[in-house]
Amino acid sequence: MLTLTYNGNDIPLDEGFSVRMSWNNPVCFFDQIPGDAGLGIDIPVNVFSRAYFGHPDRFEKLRATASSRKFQNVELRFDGFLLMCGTLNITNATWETYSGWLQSNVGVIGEQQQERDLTDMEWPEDIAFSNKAIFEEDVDHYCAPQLKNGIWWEEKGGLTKLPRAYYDEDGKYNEADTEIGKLTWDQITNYKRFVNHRPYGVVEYSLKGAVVTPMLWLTYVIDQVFKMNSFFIEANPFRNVIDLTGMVVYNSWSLIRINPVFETQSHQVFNEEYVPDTPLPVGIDLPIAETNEFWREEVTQTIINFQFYLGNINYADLLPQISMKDFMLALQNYFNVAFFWRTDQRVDIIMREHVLEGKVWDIVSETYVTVATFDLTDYFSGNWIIGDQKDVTLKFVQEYDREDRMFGQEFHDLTERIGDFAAAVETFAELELITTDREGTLRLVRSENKIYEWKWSVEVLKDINQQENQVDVMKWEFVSTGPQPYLFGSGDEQEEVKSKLSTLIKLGDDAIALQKGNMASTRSLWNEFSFRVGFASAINGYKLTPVNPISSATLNWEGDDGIFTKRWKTWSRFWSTRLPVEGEFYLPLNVLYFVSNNIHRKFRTEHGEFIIESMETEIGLNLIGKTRIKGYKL
Amino acid sequence: MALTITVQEGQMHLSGNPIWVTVAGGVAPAGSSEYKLLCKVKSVYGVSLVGQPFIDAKAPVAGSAVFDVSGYVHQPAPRDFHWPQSGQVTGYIDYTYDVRFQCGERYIDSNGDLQESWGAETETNFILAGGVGFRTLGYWQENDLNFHDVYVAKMKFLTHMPTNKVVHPYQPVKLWGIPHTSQQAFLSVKGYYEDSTSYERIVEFGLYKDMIFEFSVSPYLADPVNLPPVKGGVKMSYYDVTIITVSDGIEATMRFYVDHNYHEDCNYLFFLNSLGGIDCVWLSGSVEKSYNIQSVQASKPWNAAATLKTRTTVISSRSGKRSWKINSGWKSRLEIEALSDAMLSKEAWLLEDAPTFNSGTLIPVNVVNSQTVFYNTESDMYSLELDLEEAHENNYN
Repeated sequence: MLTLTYNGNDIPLDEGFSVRMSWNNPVCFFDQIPGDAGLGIDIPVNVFSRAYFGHPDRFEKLRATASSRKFQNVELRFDGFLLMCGTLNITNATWETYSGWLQSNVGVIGEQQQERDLTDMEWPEDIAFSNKAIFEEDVDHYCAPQLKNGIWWEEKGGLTKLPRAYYDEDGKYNEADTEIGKLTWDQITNYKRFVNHRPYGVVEYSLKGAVVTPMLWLTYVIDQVFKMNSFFIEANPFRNVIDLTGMVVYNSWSLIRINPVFETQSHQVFNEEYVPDTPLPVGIDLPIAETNEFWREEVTQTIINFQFYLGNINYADLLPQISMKDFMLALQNYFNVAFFWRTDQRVDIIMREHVLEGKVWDIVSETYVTVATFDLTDYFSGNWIIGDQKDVTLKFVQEYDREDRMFGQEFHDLTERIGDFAAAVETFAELELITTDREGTLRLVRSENKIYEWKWSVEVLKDINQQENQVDVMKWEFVSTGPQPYLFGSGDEQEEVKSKLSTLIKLGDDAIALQKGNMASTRSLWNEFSFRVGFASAINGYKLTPVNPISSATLNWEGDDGIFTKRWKTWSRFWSTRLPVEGEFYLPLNVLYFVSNNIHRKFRTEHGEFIIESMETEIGLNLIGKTRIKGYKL
Repeated sequence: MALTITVQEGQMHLSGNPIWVTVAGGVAPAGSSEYKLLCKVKSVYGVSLVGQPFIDAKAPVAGSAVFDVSGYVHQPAPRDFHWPQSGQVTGYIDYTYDVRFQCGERYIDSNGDLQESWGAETETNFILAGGVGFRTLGYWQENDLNFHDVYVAKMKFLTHMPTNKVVHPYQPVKLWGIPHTSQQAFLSVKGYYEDSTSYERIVEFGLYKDMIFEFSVSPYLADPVNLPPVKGGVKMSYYDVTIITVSDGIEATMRFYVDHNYHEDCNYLFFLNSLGGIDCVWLSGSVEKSYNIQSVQASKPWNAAATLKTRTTVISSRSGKRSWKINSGWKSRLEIEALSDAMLSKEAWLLEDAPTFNSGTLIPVNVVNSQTVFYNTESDMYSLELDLEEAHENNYN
């Protein structure tokens, strides 16, 4: 028998009561975190229900806001079997009926928290920085990996002049002054442009210009984001799959704080507003005594020195401004994972490729194991309805950090020229050796993160007499920063898989950013930074890198070790040519339990394997209707 | 205080009725939230419940949580029975599920971490697909009874049919039972003839407590030489079927009166009853048999090569099923009322035209009666009209 309880109290239902339960497989969604729902709930108005939901005549008035029409801790059970628990949303009330729908807990999370920024959540504050030689992902909340960022101090503090040597057009040596921030120069001279400079195993920050930036482990951030919403990560490839372990969330915050040393100084300031009593004589200098009238004295508290010290950490400062929903979608759509909400307050992070491989996380052995595909043949009631097979091109779009000049304003989407791309090369020197490409060929130079085009160009050369000559040449010419959106498939229709996550560019041994930093003293001049991740490991001395130091898997999309090959290859092949199917099943409760709790897995009938996108079951007071499953044939 | 778990009385339960499991003793630790008591349902031996283990969670009320686990353990399996009749005793292990329940608790501690721990496990309980009505449940509740006490502990046959009913001489009578312990037992079929003679056939067999047993008790099957319906021109008046367990001497008996009258129609209905047994009802009344067709027609144009034999309306698909309206023949009130089980049954089979031993054709059917008058006391004789429909949609291309 179907029962509906509110805070443990049974709500009497009509004889004709039924509810349409719907479950969604998050694996099949790329632009939302889908929740489950119980739709079409009509509760009769009677003395019992009025006590819980209020008099229907006054419902509109008393419960004027959407939140006041929500009733938490509502459970829907059939013969004791928990079909769904969550929040009952009453949308309408008449004399006879309260009408509404049941929103599962994931849906509740969605509404309450998904739009909330990570930085607005309750993160630990005022934590002393632990300057360790070894940071462990399972023990520490953060790591302090080293990277280069030569403009971190830009627009902070005064400028200084530096002599710059150059030769003029006659070949003569010259010097001229160039202006640079004092602290920027300090960072260059004292720390070789490094953030978290670790020359002796720990972060060095005793000299001026230091930047100390703890970066939270990605696993810690994921755990905490869910924990703050009373959900707990169970299966987590970011802990268990070597390629994905050891990532930190990049930020441009520094713990360095400034204690300015200042003294009172008086200055003679020219008073432009001074108007003499008598008109000034034309063509005659004033006596010195009279010129004093044009000057006034001004007193300033002039900073004569900076004392730098290390402040404590507020974890929220270390996170990008991104909503929980975008954070989850960014991870989903970059690493090809999906968040699956279980009914026991746990969340499994499912790898989509594992779905196709039939692998699941085994909590006992703490490994991914291959399981037999669950057979639904016994419950299948008819024939499949076969839809139109898709033939789409998947376009993987990442949102790069516009505040990082390594990406800057020079990015142009070259999707339309996908056919012109040839294999990427590591360095520009390698690129210059390639002279046999047809005109219009595009190649990515990985070390520079730039895309060049092999094209006809005109170069202006000077001869020995300094006369300009125009020469037609074929050359590799810069067209855009990279990387470009990754494309897979051959269909005319495009489906975008968008992620707000990206990584940093690595040049040589070091990841490089050209991004202005943030610190407590300049909080009002906030410089945005986006959601970026990189690897940090003791193996390479905690140098931030987009390349996993243990497995060589990279966070770039191209290449055999790239994100696409490692994480998307099998899934993309299936998804770009997926075949929609639809069928009806008569599922007993225990099978319904299994399927709804394992909806992310693949299933089979005698006709073959399929994955479920969504399923719906009409459940009446004393009967369980057919279950309509929509999915994709494998 | 340690968690405790208690299952309602009796080790054998019907999955169609609430099965209450109480978890108690849990106390939410200081500073914790979302405190829930847990009940895990898992198969332990034999056939597994699909999808197990199942975990349910409830916030405790006054320190305990009561779980109705029937929805988790209700796994109807297609039932089998012996036809044509062969052995007298058959045990089935596939229709009872061996399950255990485990208690646990889950909460978010004062640090915000999820804590989950599991405690004691119950002894093995057995689940049988079936269920009784709320009135019976209420009666049992008031009298401190349950399915196990009434049917298992006493080895009572799993049927609502009266203990003395009228049967055809060659009716494939079946009885079902579940023992409460594993032990040896005797099955006795004793025929009584009109000349006051009798003959008893006894077989010994083993009972296992997690199995359901089918007893095919037709006297002719038990001993065609000594227990035929008519022996030396003398008719058998009735026969008793008795099961006696060896260790604890539990005895269950049913009596069947043999109707030697001629009936033009002789059909039987087997159906899975609400107690998990399969009853066989003799339908001696009139039969109206039909064949119901469904078809889809399509039109096609007249073409240049069309002849006298060409058609412009074609059947694009057609399927059909047989259906019957069968009168039960005169029955006692108790037997008529027991037929409500047939109308609720999801599995039934018609044995058509079976006047002799092991004859007839077995057809899976659905009982489709929607509203049926059981009896009207204006009349002293009672019969019932059953609407049956073949459980197949026949078609051929």
